[in-house]
Amino acid sequence: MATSSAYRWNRYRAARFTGRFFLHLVLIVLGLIMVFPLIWMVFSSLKPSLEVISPEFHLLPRTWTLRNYVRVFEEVKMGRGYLNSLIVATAVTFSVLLSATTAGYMFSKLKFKGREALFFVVLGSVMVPPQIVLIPLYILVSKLRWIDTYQGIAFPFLMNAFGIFLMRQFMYGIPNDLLEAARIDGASDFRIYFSVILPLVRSSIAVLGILIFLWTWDEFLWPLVTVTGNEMKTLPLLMAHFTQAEQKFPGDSLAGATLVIGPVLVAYAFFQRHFVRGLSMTGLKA
Amino acid sequence: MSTEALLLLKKRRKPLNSFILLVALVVLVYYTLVGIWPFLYNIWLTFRKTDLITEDKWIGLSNYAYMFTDPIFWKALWHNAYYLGVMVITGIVTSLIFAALIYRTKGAARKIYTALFFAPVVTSMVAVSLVWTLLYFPKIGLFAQVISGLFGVSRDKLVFLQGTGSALLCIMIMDIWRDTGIRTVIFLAGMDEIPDSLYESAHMDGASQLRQFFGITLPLLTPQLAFIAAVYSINAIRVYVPIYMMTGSPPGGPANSTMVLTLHMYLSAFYGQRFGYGSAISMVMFVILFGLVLLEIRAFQQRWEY
Amino acid sequence: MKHLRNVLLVALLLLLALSVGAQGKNIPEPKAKVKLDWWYQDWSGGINWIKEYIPVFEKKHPNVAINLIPVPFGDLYAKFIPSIAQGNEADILFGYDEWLLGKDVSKLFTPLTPTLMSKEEFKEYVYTPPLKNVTAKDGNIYGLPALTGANAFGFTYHKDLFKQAGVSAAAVKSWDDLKAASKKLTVYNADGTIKRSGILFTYTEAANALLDMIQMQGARDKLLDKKTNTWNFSIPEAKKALETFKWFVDNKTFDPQSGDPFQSFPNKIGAMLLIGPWNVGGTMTNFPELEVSYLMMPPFPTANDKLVLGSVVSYGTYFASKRLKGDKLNGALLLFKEIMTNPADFCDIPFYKKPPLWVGAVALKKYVDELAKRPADKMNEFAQTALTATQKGLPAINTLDTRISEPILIRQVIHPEMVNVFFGKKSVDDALKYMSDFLTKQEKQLAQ
Repeated sequence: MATSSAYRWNRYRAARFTGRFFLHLVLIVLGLIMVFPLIWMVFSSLKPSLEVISPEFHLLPRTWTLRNYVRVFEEVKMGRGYLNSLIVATAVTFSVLLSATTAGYMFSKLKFKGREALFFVVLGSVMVPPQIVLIPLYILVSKLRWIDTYQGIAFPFLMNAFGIFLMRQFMYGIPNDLLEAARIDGASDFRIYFSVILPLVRSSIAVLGILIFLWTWDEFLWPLVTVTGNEMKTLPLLMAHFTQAEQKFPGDSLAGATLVIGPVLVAYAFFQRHFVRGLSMTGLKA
Repeated sequence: MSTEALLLLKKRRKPLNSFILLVALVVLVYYTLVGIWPFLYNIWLTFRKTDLITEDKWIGLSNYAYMFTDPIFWKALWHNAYYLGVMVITGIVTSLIFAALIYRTKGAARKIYTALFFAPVVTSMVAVSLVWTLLYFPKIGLFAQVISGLFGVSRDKLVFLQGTGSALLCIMIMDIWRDTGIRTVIFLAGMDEIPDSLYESAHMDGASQLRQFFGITLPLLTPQLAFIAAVYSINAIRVYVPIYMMTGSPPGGPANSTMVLTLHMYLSAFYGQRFGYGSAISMVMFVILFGLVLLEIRAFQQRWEY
Repeated sequence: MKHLRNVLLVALLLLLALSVGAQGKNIPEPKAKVKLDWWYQDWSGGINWIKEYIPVFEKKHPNVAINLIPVPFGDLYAKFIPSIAQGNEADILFGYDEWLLGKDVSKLFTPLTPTLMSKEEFKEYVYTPPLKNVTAKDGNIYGLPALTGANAFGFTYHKDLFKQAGVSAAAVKSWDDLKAASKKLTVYNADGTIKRSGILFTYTEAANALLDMIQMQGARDKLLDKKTNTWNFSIPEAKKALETFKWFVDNKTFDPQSGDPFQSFPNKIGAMLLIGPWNVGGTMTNFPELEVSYLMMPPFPTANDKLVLGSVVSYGTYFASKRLKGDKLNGALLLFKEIMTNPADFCDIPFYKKPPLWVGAVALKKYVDELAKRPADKMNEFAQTALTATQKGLPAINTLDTRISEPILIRQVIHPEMVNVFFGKKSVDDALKYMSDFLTKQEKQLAQ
């Protein structure tokens, strides 16, 4: 009897082990499939253009070359594109964080006449993203003489309703006693904002910041409409150059893509936790 | 005076608060400039025929009448709807499966799998579209080789982005791939919150794994499901970047088989010099988005309340 | 006697006036340094061409500095009119005349007549057809056409593949020859599918070629009836044209699903590629390791043997912003004057490079006259090609009087229907009917 139960236990353990083995196998394979396009991208960017599209597959280049990267920097001026994207994304992130925290504080903790109406306006703005009102925005920005300028590119994104909602939601959770205590000490709302509210939502700020930065970095349609000269093009517009150019060099496309994706992936590798938290903040509870 | 009395006094006075004034004013001005005014002007434009400079005249409902009979508009609308259906359903199903698998792991392994699945999410959609376009090179590209090798399909049939039936589907597959990680993580987080005790008691009652999944996991993931459905529905209506990048020349793919509303709007306005008509298309998109955003807000509320 | 003297006096005065007018007005040099931004379509041939010309011009006019800004075609097209509307266009603009179809050009640019020279004199420098779309109602001219744009010019081909297949480019003199050559050049897989197409058709050029073929058969007025704004593709000429293209698919010498032709061709997935003038030197410059040459479009079987270069032909035209004043305006006018009065300095650049930067018909009449008189030892094959293309074809071109913009006409309607026919999704008749219906609707809407 003891033998048969030990046998059954071993079989159970074996079955569980096999089960776990296959589970991990499947997940590893799936995981690799998920990242394979990115791996292929990096290796193929080091192949000459004529080799990228080849009827026989080989992951590693037969001829290693940096020519694609050189050409991408010289002819497509990626360096300038990086700068532009960086400036715009940083400015927008800063602006959104500032506006979201102040407006979030205002909407969550400060009562005033017309608060509901104003919140309704912000809510409504979600329904008219730049995409929908592209043409009027373009006309407005032209009249302000902001075509081909950083402020023109950043303008529709300086405040973000989603950020305001998020901060408002978080700040609801801040106990009112803290605020009252500060007020009794004579602190103005500005003071309260800086010294009490901000420190308490630090982690959410980091997370929202990453989110906004990534979104702005990848923004395409609005910059397409508002930038004409190559000097002011952000990275996505330079990428579009690869599909619109009269002669398409696959190697260049991949080098460009690697240069755009690479740094973010590297940052992701180090700060993975924050990225994951941030980007799923859209669905997670506080 | 007692503290309470002081507090009461402060409350009753309600002085003109410069903080509120500043912030509220800035918010109001900004959203008027970026939201209210453009929206009204957009409506105004839909009744006009204009190229912004050499002509600008009132034509009433003519743009809408034309839209009704514009085959490309209906094609675009259909494509967006198709995109929505496939994205939402396939996206949810695949992410659920992956989440269910990863859920069963823990510790370092789980972190690694999550990291792998999530990596495509942080990539630039623009750049990634370029990569996939090359992978999809018809007949001799990498995907063609793999699929014909694994499934024995003749390479000649594997035209991907060059086929009127397959182009949009190929783009959708890329889009699903890219955001799988985010959906998986959301579902995972939801699954993590389900107490083990529920599963244990179900196990006691003899329920199989599958039964437990459909009976416990899925219903408790309803808020996440609703949320993801809403978000990706909105994405599908607004989709533009992968279409433009992967089937940008000619724009809209072979025989307009990847034409979508945003692209049609952009082309009509900037390529066709018909800004009134472009605005009309954007108004239709607005109406559709309006409905979907209402859905999303309801899902979002549910999420928080839950 | 007195009568004769008066006549002589008048004749002398007239001669004097003409000789002064013949130089154009005297445009003063800018007193201070001016910088002019020039938007130019970003294609390597064109950009390299202008880059070489600018120092030549600046040497003669040291106070004028030209800043060349390459803009990709899509952006340039999309931004052209809107930026003028908003007042942030560049000082000098490159654009295609057919973008201005049906528009009042006097609202868009600075007039070049009578500021630069009289209308009559201007017409001595430039052929008439290119001027059609840039002339306002009052007869004044608002742009300087220089070159023909994207239309079906000919085919680039791989020399080594031609040699392998035993095909001689010089022997391709008709569409029948083209068909035969494509058959010889196609390579098949073991299962009968196409491994390498004998011929590849690009998108816009193929659609342009279709319209050309219809026109070449003399059916221009049947195709588009301007009085009723009706398009009619269901005519035998259109059917013949579309069926010609379909022949290549049906006879398996053209695989329409072998990838973007501009990527497939360098990768030798096709032996020949239909191109426009803008790309003649393109493949040769970008892939110097390939042995590529070009042959011109053979005439389509037709009663009219004139080589029609384009029905929706676009003339690359230079414009001056209407916001220019004073020294800046003079700087721009000087540029135009220089190109017009010393055209060889400008137009020789693309032809006398190996590979050529661009080959096509030239709109500048004085240059073509000069080429015709040039001694044989100073000519080269590309200049000769340009000469032939212009003399034979350009004066006879009559662009279609449609208000539909080229990108919509070609890319949204005609090419997609050609694709439907190539993929076997629609019959030729159905495609022709669809094009007629759709374009008529658009034409009527635009004529409102």
